[in-house]
Amino acid sequence: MPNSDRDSSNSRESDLRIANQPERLATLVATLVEQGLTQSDRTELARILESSDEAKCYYLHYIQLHSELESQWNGGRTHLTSRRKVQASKPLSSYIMPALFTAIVATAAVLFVMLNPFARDHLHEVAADKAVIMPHRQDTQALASKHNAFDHREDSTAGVAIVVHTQGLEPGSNIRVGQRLAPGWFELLTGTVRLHFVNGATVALEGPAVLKIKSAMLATLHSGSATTRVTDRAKGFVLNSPGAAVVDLGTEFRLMVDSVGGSIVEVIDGEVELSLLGDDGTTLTSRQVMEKQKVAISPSEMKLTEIESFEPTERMDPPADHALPIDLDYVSRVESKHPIAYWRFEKLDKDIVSNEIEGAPALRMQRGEADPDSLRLIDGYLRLRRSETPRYLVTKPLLSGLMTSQHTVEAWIAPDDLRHASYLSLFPDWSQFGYQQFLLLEVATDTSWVHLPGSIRFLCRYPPARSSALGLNLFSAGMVTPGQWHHVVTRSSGSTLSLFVDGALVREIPNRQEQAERDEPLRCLIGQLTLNQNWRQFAGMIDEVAIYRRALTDEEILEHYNAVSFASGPGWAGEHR
Amino acid sequence: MSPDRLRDPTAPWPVLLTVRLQPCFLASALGFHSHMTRYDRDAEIPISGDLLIRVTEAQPRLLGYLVKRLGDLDAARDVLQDVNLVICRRASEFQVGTNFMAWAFTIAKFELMAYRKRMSRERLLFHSDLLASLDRMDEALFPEDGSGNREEALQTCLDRLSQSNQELLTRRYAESLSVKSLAAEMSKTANAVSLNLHRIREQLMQCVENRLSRASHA
Repeated sequence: MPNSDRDSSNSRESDLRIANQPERLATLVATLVEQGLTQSDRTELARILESSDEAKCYYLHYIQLHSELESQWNGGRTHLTSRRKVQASKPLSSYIMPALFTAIVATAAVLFVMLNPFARDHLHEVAADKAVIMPHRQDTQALASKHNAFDHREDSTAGVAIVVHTQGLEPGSNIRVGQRLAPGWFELLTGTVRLHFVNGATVALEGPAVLKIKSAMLATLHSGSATTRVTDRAKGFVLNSPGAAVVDLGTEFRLMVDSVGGSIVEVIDGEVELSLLGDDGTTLTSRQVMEKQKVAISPSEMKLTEIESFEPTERMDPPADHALPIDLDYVSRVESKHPIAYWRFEKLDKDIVSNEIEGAPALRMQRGEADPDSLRLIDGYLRLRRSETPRYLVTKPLLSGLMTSQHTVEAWIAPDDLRHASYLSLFPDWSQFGYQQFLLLEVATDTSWVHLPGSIRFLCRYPPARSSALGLNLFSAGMVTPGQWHHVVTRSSGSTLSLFVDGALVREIPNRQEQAERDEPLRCLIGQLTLNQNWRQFAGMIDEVAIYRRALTDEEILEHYNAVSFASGPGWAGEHR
Repeated sequence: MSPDRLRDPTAPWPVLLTVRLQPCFLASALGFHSHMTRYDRDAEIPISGDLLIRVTEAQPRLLGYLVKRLGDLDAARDVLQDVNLVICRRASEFQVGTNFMAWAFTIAKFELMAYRKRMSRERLLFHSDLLASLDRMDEALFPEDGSGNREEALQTCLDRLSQSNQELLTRRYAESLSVKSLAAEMSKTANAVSLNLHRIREQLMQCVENRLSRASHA
């Protein structure tokens, strides 16, 4: 066969092969631009690209488009949001420079966060390896992926679970609410302890029990009893017993392990995949166990036996709410510092929460008619539950003077869980749905930024904008405790930004952002990220929100924290930092 | 700029146009001179604010250029860092008024070659023939002087997307949220979000090509 014919034939064969491969090529290219490929995927991609020009063409077009989309937003060009609302009167450079500038300082902030005992050593390693040039969040991420110690989310010393409730512990027990648990052994002699894993699983242990925590998604119960509830976020959480593994498929189940290694699993709600394991830890046999079924696991006999008759276990009680123990002394202390807004959530009148400060804006409650429980005022605090529809409280744009002066925002929050959630933001009126925040406060977990899970995030951004490349972030080093009240205060003194949790200064950085030349009245949004979507809904309790047009001193902040008397009662973790 | 400025919030902040290359400044501020590589030290060069903006704006396109030719996101990011360092070291050679992107792409091309030389043949994903072929096609499909038309077409196509798709793209690109973060936020699986983003990109690809094709026949 002449060369030209052979080429033509080969080409046809190749084209035929690729005709069957477009879906695979599309998957590979999509994965490549999002997160990168494994070695075997890369080899497969190369093989497909070599097979035809069509494949090459698709590959080039796809990456080109992805780059252009990145350029649209991160390269400082026009984009959907800026075309709508970012103050158009300013030249582009006035936005790019602060963007670059704040990105640089934000990177500095990230690096300073890393200057803690478990990251410091690795910083030397990275500095020697390669300087981080053109500070870009994705580059920081790339470094993080290469140097695991950079990634707090992967760092076991950061804790993968937290004690959220205890009852009936033996005298002298060192287990306490708010305690962070790293992978390792956890022994409970008496009483009950409820653990909240950072990925969303809750495990209630009944003593005596021994649990080995391996990661945020894996633990082994060696003896005793544990009831596990898993949210959608933690679906796939695995609780092993000696010789068996229970993979949670979004449910609640109870596992009991006896002293000779036998165990029983009972599904209270939903379903689990139960595996009997061989001595190499792999599945010998498995079955799905459905709601209201109970199965005995016998590793020695290598069998799973359904138990026909039993008294079903009750569902795990949701954590009880505890109102913030506020008295008039606390209120007078706040009012003596002349906040420009102070919401106490004492009374709801036609969906309006009044402001304690005369003439200051009230909060208007917005919630779906079908879901009135998503926002409620109970016992003088705001109770929020997640909803399929947007629900929030928002003011009119009457909070003036904050952009151009010092400011402090104070609130008490008690999140239900550690899920990424926005609980308060301030944004200018021109921001139609509140995307362009001047200030944003969140509980941060499972984000693409570098921080500990369950941190408090304080974002201050001038000019208000939507891009994550703008603004400065402060993350607390501690983990908030679900179900417990925390006093969170953010402060801008002009030259510095500070974050206080439970009375203590936990983070402070220089504020290198452009200073506002003119003031714009701001709106305050409570409960979720924006007005038009149900994104990042905060679930939990909020109380005593105060905004000041000055920087409270460290002493004043501590005074407010100390003015709330929890003693050692419920509802208080007391040690975030 | 003194490294101490990071620690002294009361010190006046100089005009950004005069700052040195920030990462080097950061490394200095954190006291890692002894660990800095030759490139790092060389890179402590004053760089004009204008050039800094251009370099920043060029990052996505340079990264795209490298990803196309390497098929490896991590490797492309590594080479991009080398490209940035060279741009900073040779900043004085760039003449204002000339085509910055062409200059930056030339540097990227040389750094890509240097990277491929450093890597053993076995570790290179794309062999020379494939690379040459991709290179030729890329230059033919996306000539530098045609980028304006593409930007315009893309903007029109973006405007035609549904509100929800626009929102998703904004979250992914403007706020640089990872698919995992988006999935957690939207109570969807990461696969579902990835698939959604992929469909939007394919829709945009088609739309852009249609518009460019119509424009060329008009």
